[in-house]
Amino acid sequence: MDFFQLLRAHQGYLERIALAMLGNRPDAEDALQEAALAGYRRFAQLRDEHAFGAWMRRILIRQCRQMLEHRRRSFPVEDLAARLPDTVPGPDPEATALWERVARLGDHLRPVVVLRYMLDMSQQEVAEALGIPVGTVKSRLGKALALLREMEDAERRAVR
Amino acid sequence: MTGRDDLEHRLSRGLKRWAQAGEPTMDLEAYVRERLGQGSGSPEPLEPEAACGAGRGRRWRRWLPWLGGAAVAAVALVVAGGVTFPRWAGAATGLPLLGPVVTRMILDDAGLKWAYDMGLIGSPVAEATQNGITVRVLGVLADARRTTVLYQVQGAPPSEQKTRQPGEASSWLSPPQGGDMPVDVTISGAVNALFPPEETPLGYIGTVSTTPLEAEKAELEVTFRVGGETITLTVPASREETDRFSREVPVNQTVEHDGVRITVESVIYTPAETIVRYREEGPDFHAPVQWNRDTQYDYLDVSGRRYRSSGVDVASFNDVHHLVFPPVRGPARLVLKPVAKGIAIDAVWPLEPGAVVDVMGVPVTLMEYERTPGAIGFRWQSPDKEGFLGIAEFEVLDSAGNAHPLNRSWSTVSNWTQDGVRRQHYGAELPEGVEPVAVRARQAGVFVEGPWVFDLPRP
Repeated sequence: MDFFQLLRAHQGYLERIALAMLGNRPDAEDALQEAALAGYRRFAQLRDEHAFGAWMRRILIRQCRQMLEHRRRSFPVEDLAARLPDTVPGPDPEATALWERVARLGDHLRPVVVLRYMLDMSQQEVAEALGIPVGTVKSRLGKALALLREMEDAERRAVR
Repeated sequence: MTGRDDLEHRLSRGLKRWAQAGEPTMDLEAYVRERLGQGSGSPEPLEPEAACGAGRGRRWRRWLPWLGGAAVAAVALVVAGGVTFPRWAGAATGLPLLGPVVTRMILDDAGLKWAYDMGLIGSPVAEATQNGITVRVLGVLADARRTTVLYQVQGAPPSEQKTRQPGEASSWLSPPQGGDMPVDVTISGAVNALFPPEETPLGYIGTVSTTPLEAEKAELEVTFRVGGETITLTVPASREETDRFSREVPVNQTVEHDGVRITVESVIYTPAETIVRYREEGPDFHAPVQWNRDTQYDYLDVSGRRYRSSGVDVASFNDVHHLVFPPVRGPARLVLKPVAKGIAIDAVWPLEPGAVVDVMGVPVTLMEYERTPGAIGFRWQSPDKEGFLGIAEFEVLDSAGNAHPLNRSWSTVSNWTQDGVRRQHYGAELPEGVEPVAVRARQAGVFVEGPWVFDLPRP
């Protein structure tokens, strides 16, 4: 199969990973475009087509990390539009609700949650992917889980 | 299982399901090929390149391969004011409508999402079937900035990606592709937004927009052309509901600077959006412009917080523009990014690779040109000088000194910078028999910085 056939087969999943990492659709689209371009250029280096998904994920995560670092440097002023989470439906209400809570986490917490729970990376792998110490990964996961629990509790109270 | 374990378990399961439910929404192949300047072919090592445009421009360009070319389907809107119609006349019921694509289209657009939540769109308005082709209008949103029709086409053949054959002209010397899409969309009159149809399990689905209704109610005539079929639907449109929840406040502030005049006419506050209506007047620059998204963007400043604009505005330079921001509570200050202005020049390059012409103090080199039986293309390169946006409005000269304009039926163009170098290409139709000896650019682009600042009234 050629690069684009393989890419199309994985594209929906990759789009969601980018959206989950970056929290908004415009940046996710930019990241995926750049990742697709990078993947296309390096496709000859991929020896096993079956590894395409994991290979593209790595490229995409690296691109997302660059954008997150760039975003931290470039947006000292509050940019509400960029921070608003994108509402993107999942296959069922529970998955959608989980995403909507995760989307409300900040840029320093959300990617850690995504890599750890969506992509099943170990804490060490998350640390390497994001270029931060393992201890920071642990503390961010702890904070993120606490916040997610608070959100759930608040929603339950609101329903009552 | 502890509470923490339970949350982590649900997170792991739920986020995976959410991610696996993703569907492709972008034409990545077109983007990659455009960036590499290829029509098709196998991956090959090429120099890294930058996008032709950034931000909204770049996102919009990913759809360009879906546009243009042979129009197999056309949606034409004819707006006639002052007519009263029953709401959603001709509605069909019980049809499969809100698939994931429609949902995403709605969710991606704050105005459409609000209209959907209010029950103003989402149900079929009208439909017709002719020789196996079913066309359906799924909703009409008429508000202060646009009149948008959401439509569906079923029964059209699937799209096929065209593969360039060996020996076929490279993409920059071929008319833009688009005819491979069995459903293509064009619109007569003033288009202010266009979402090309997507092929989905529910058929082709897209939106097309025109200018806001001038009367509160009107009739839209929507014409679909699919293959050899032409189907026309007439649907009502009304601003009554949206206007009830909106407030338009006149602004009428004008700032004039360096030959460019910007007038902010009004600001419209809706539950979903803050819409600024303004007009730019001056000489437009007729080439793509690469914006620095970190420093060049339109925003509302509300007590020191910046709200960036969203949405796509395809209005041309001297038309009315609409900027869309999140809903804000004033007072707000509108700050616009620099304006790209065209300046008349007369720069002529002999058709010799390496020929250099000074354009506004910038040495612009003709790197190469290519002539095919029906077309001609050029590549230029110049140092990336701040404020200089490149060249445009091209024509060729023959040995007798006759000028042959190149803005005929089609053209391909790019204009981008990387690592301190600006690269431009331009390809266009040129009939056989014309033997050019030189190429002329009649326009250069520059930024006009403003300041383009307007204080907006409170909602």
